[in-house]
This record gives sequence, C-alpha cells and structure tokens, in this order.
Amino acid sequence: MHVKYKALTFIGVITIFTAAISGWSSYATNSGIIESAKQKELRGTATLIQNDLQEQAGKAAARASLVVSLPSIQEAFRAGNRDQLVQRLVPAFLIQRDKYGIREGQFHTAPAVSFLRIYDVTAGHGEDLSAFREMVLATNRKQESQKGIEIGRRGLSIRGVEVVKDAKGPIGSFEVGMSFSPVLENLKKNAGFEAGVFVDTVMMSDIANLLPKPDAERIVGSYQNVEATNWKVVRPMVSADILNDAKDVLTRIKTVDGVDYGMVAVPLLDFKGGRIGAIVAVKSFEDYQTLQGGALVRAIAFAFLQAIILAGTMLILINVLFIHPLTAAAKKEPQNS
Amino acid sequence: MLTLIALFAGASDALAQDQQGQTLPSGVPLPLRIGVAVFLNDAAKISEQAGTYEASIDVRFRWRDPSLAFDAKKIGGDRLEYSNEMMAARLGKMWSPRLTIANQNGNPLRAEGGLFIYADGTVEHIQRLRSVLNNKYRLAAFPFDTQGLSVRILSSRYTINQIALVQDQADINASGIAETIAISGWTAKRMEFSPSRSRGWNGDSYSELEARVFIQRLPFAHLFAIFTPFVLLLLVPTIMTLYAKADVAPRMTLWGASILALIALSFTFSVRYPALGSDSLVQQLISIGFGFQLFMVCLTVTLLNPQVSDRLFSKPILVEVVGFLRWSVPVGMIGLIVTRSLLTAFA
Repeated sequence: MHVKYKALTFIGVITIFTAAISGWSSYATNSGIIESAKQKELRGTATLIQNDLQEQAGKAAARASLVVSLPSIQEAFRAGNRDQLVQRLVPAFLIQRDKYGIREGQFHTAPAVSFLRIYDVTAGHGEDLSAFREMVLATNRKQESQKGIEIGRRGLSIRGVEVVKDAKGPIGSFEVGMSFSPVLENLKKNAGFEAGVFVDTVMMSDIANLLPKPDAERIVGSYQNVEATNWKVVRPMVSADILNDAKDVLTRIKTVDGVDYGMVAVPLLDFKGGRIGAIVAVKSFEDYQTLQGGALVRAIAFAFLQAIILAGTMLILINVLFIHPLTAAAKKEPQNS
Repeated sequence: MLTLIALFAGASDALAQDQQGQTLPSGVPLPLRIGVAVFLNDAAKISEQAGTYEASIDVRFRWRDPSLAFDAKKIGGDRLEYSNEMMAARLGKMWSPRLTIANQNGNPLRAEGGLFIYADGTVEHIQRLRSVLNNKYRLAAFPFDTQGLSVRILSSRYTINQIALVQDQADINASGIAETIAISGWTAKRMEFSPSRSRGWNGDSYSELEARVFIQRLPFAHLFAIFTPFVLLLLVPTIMTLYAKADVAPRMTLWGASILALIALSFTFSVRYPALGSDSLVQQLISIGFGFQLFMVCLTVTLLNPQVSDRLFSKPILVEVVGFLRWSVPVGMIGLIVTRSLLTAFA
C-alpha cells in the first residue's frame, strides 16, 4: 500500500509537471506571436509617420517650386513690389490654407531677411531671421532648394524653401509651410491611431512669438502639444519621461483602466538635425488583449486535458501491471509460509 | 390683374428663397466641413430580436456660412438663438446640410432643438431626438457580448465633393455618453466614430459618419438562467450512472428522460433568445449536452454493463477504468463547459 501511494503520487506530480510545461510552452509561443504582431504594428506606424512627413515636405517644396517659377512672381519680387505679390498670390494661398493645410508662405531676401508673409502681409518686413531659420540661410547660401521641419515665427511647420531667380540672377527665396494636420489625419484614417505633435516649449516661446501662449493643459513637461486628433485619448498616454526618452523611435504598451494601449513616439528633428519634439501616436490594443486571453484559456484547457488523460492512463497501467500483482503476491506469501 | 401679378411675384420670391436655401454657402472651400457631435443621453428597449433600440440623443451639426456673419456690437451679442418653430422657420431661409439619421426607424418619437448663429457665421444646429433606431447585433459571444449601438449620420443630398462630415476636438469634446446613463442589463463603455462613404442611387458617393456606443452585457443573470437547468438535467443521471449502485435499465430510463429534458430546454432557449445563432454559447452548450448524453449512454451499455464489460476486460482493469471515469468524466465536463464559456467571453 505504501508503495502504491508513493507510485501514484510520483506519477501524479510528473503528469501535472509535464502538462504545466506543455501548457506554458504553448501559451508562451502564442503570446510571443501576439507581442511580435503588436511591435510590428507599432513599427509600421512609425514608418508611416516618417514617410508622411517626407511626403508633406515634398508637397511644400512642390508648391514653392511652382510659385518661384512663375515669371510674374519673379518680376514682382525683383522689383520689390509687395502689393503685386499680394494681389497675385494671396487669393490662391487662402484657398490652399483652407483646403490643403498650408499655414505659411513667405518671401525672403538673402541671407534670411523677411520680405513678405503671405498670411500677414503687413508684418515682419525686413526682420532678420538668420538666428533661427537655418533652412532659409542654407537655401540662399547654397542656391539650392531645401525641405524639412523648422520652427518659425508662426510655429512649427513642415517646410519647402526654393530659390527665386530670374535671368539677372538670384533674387531671394520663397518658402511654403504646411501643418501637421494631414499627417495626423492620414494616420487616423489609415492606421486607426490617434496622434499628437509635441514641441519643445522653450524653443516655441523664444522663436514663435506670433503665436498665443498654449493652454496649461497642453503642456507636458518641457514640451507643448501643438496639434492632436483626440487630446482626450492622447494625453493619458504621454508623459514628460516618454517625450524626453524619444531620441529614436520609441514603442510602449501601457495599460489604462485595464485596457492595453500601444504607443509609438517618432522624434521630430529640425533642419539642423536637432531634436525639437516628437509625434506620439496611440491606439487601443484591446483586440490583442482578447487574443492573449483566449490563448491563455486554450493553453490551460489543453494542459488540463493532457493531465487528465496522462494521469488516468498511467494510473490504470501502474495499478493493473504492478500494484495489483504485487498486492496479490503479498497476500499469497503468508498463506504459502 | 393686380392679384395675378402679386401671386406671381410671391411664387417667384418663394422659388428664389428655395433656390437660395439650397445653394451651398459661398466664400468657403469645398467640400464644406460639417462638424458632427453625438451625445447619448439615454438608451432603452434594446431588442436583439427586432434589431432595434430606443435612445435619446443630442446631435449637433456645425458649419460656417460667411453670409450669415453679423456685427456683434450692433446686435448686442455674438450669438443669435432660435428654437423650435423659430428654428424651423430660420432653417427654411438658409442653407443647411440636411443630414439624416440613416438607421432611424420611422419618425422620431420626440424631437426638439435649436439653432445658434455666431457673429463669424458659424452655425450650430442642435437636435434632441428620442427615436427608435435599427441596429445589427452580433450575439455569438452571448452572454459575454459587447454590442455597438449605432447612429449613422448620412448626407443624402450633397456629395463628398460638396460636404465632408468631420470631427475636430470641439466635436469630440461635445460627444459622449451621459454620466448618469443606466441601461438595464448593460454597462455603457465608450463611444467611437468611424467615417465612411455610401453610394447613392445615382452612383455618387455621399459622406457618412457612424457613431457607435459600445455597451457590455451584464452576464450573471443570464448565466444562472442558462447553466442551472442545464447542469441539473445532466447531474442526476450522471450520479446514478457513476456513483450509485443501479442496473442498466433504471440508468437508461434516467438518460432517456434527460435527453427529452435537454430537447425541451433547447426549445425554451430558442423561444427566450430567438436572435441567437448556431454559433452562440447557448447552442454550443446544448451540443455539448447532447454529446455528453451520447457518451454516457454508450458507457452505460458497455463498460458499466456487466454483461458486456465482463467480455471486454478482466476485473482488475475494469475496476481501474471505472475508478478513473468516476472522477475524470465530471471533471472533464466541467472543464469543457468552463473553457467554452471563457473562450466565448474572449471572442
């Protein structure tokens, strides 16, 4: 009897142990696949953001190129005639602003002196922008078009700057600045992520002095939010630490009210390559959570089934092949002796 | 003659006004952006069978019409307000997007609203509606299901090149679910919006925005009503088969009664939950029940029938097999039911 219970206990422990290992292995494999899918989606979103930013910069450069190639614009700029430039461009640029997210248009003379702001035609004439407009300096110095992200007097924009020249030679430069709205809206429409743009507060207050002060609610650490598709969703996910750590593409999974959210932060680099902020995109990963829950239930259920079948089979075999013959033999011995 | 001239002038004026009302606002880029906000005040009478629910919703449409701008100093305020009949009269004289709630079942049970026109020409048209709305319910995960109560805002008059249904932060902030909402048997979770397009009869595309309020069913009341009779009708014959000393005949009688009881329970569930499909947890439970009964009947006439089992196995093996079945069958059955229920909850 003592042997019987020892054997049965040993079999039970071994069976449960092997079933547990099998179940854990199965769950870990499924969980790994699901985690990998989450990371792939987040990295894909980061790529989408980066590609969209480049595309926006290309659109800004395309519009700037179109404007500077018009002979009437070259003629008016050469003559220093702001009124003619306003008449010829402002009506079209108002439509571009309302329909396509253009937020800035500006003529500069070399090296980086503001000549005319399309959306504020009386302001800033002759202002020297060389302290903070590296793109304009580079365009006029190298006589080559430039595109990128830079903070200006009216805030952060995705910009394209083109050289304005005619038969007599270079005149100056013209830039088009686009907002981040098309990038954020594309991200929401194509990938289902809510997103926000965060910029260094100190840089914005030093340079973008034509903008009003931001709401206190929109300031996170040393960064301020300039645009967001849904602030109510983005804000709980963003912290000063995340924005400070976003020196490269950063992915995080965070749980809020029991629901997993995937978050990706793509650093924003200005024309000089300095980090000025980040785009943060957030999406509910509740579907992945549900899949993981289902995988856990299946793993436990199959481990349980394995334990029952193995334990039962081993118990029957051990009892029939060993325990019963030993018990019968033990009973016969006293009779023989 | 003068009467005829006056009548003709009136008709022309009305036509001009009608034409003016239908003309899109000028001075704004197309497609004209219409901000949409939906706020759920209350929901009730959620009927999966009829595919409807009744709700009280606030729907707000917001757009800009520069022709309606005015001097706030002259008027003495930056907002003009119109309500009920005055709102209807004012809307008749101006352009409005004439959006409809596409899944509204008939006319609203109650409708009230107002119109705000701001000094810069921004217009807000707010409607508070109590309506019955059509809705598609997916019941595969019943009673652990989460349903989306849908409100579909559709532009049936203006194409996607003329108006666009959008949401900015102000519209998002104005949308949501009332804090005090109480839907019997459900918990309200969140509201989501998804834009899409619908194809008109003339082949044009029209803008559509669907607001979905996700509500989660409270399963406990249903679980008790489903599982208790199910467990009881299987429990008694199982005890008699595995644990009581009885012959084959009384056991088979009990299993026969259990089969009939399960068939009756299946009919009861189909009457109580007519909207459930064949993939629902209830139908899966019924199938598991029938499978268990078949298995136990086979056991009863083979391993647990001395006339058959004595020819198949020796006594020591039979004792061990029956001992194994006594604990593994109930444990396995409980495990199967719990697993299916949890997988349904995670579906």
